[in-house]
Amino acid sequence: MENLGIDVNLLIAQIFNFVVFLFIFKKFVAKPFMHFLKNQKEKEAEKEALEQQIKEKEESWKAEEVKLRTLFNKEKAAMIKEASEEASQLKADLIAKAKEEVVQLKDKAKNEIEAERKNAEKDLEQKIIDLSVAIVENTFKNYLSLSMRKEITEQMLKNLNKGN
Amino acid sequence: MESKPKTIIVSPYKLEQADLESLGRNFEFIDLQKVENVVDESLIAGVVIKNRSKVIDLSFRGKLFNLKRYLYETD
Repeated sequence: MENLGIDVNLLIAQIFNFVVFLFIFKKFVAKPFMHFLKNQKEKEAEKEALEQQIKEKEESWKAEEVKLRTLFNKEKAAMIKEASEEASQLKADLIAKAKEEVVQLKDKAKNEIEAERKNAEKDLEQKIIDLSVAIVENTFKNYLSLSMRKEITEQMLKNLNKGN
Repeated sequence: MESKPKTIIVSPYKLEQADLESLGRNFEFIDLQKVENVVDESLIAGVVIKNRSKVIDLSFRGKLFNLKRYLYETD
């Protein structure tokens, strides 16, 4: 063995060193290191799971958002349609009411004009009567002499007597 | 006996006693002793007798007024 250059004692010592090293490495380095690696792996897995969860949640939120937007647009369209219909109805009602009011105003004006015309006619009639009676009065005042008036008065008094 | 109140007789000319007596006969409330004759030519003819609150219009003017009222009321 010595001819091959192999020192048995050295070899044994190296083997012993290696075993000790291995033992120490395994106990104080490998185990924690493996533990560390395991932790890292677990953390990675957790992180991935979390990311997946987040991704899933994002997707579900996006889907929800799309759903809500669709619903919102639908409701908006429905409200606009309803408002539009109400406005049309209101417009039609207002027009009908305005037309009715116009007819009422026309009738009222017609009646007022008729009443005015009748009043004017009555007024004119009365003026004619007043004028006619005034003319008669003046005519008699100017035409009747004192003797005529006396005659008329005496006739009136005679009629009184006859009446009694 | 209660004395009769004063009577005012309005006429278009001064009435004669006979006329006043005729009126006295027709209207009992007229006391010939208490008659005042007022001349108002606008009556044209006839008389208006006023005794307290009583007014009896027998004038031509009154008849024209009645005619006017009648014509007003007739449609």
